[in-house]
Amino acid sequence: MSDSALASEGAAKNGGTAEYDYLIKFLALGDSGVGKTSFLYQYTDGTFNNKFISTVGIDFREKRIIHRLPTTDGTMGRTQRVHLQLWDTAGQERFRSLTTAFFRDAMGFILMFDLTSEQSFLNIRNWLVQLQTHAYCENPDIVLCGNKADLDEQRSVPDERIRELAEKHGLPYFETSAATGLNVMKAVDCLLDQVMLRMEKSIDKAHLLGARNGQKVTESDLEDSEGKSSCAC
Amino acid sequence: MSVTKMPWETLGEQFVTQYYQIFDTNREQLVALYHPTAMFTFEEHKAQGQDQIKDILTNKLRFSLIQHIVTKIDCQPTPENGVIILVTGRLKTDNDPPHAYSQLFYIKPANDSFFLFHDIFRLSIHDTV
Repeated sequence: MSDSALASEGAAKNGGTAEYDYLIKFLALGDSGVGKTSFLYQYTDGTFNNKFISTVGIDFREKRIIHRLPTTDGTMGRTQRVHLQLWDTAGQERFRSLTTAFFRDAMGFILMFDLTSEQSFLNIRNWLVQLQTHAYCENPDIVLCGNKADLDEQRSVPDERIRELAEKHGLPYFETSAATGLNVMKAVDCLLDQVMLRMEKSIDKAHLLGARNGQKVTESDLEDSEGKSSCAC
Repeated sequence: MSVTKMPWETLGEQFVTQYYQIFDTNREQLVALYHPTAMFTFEEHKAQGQDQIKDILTNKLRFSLIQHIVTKIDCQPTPENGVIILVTGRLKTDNDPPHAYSQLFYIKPANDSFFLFHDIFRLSIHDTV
């Protein structure tokens, strides 16, 4: 999927009556038992409003937020109303079974391991391969989370190895705790910043392309044309 | 549609009941139902013979609790006195939502008893909604 198609998915919801500007879908990935569900539960303020789509085995929660685009010059960025969908597995990774639907429609990935389980950290490499194969592009936006930071005495993954992995793949890394809430907001916000920046860039690019063709491009034109993207996804 | 159950149907249902009873309570004992040459497909895992099958059942499946709820059992007899069984059901692992699944068994007599010769399992989850 191209960057512009990615942007259109969010912008397509930006109709006159929609109460939000962007619909953003994040997917939590990682071995079973690392705390994905608890993490998302913590992020959505402990609400039980999850919805389950049994045909594809996706469990998701939703949250409305106001996102302010980060700027480099310290000025206030533009604000956008974001409807965030947080996708979770329904446990099928226990059977080593995840269908491609799971990866394909997500715009950002919360890749999680358990700081107390070395195996879950080793498997991060496998998850990255899966991601690169099935996600909308080869370098999707990912945030790496080492969860269960509250279980300090049971830690079994050395910091150095985590840093190495994060640097090698260019992933922002957070130590998180779904139990105490440590860095849960920060990690999701970080991913949202990345995804929103990617969208801004692709929309800007589309504007430039439109201008080059000598046409005046309005916001609605842009959404229309992107909505009709030929992307097969 | 016949009202009376055919003998292979009764046999199939008894087998399925026993299989899931053991699967849900004492998974490592399940291997006793398989013939030494049995073939086993469980999602992406493939195995033949009791040792390989036992390894998958006890070491490769990452859940502690499982509960099968059978919806339908369909059976057909085979010329070698075996029974082909198709199970349509749902299962629940630990605290996860229930998943639909299909499982196919082939049981056949050997040494005065029925053994499992083929077992194919697949979760009913799809690539599109």
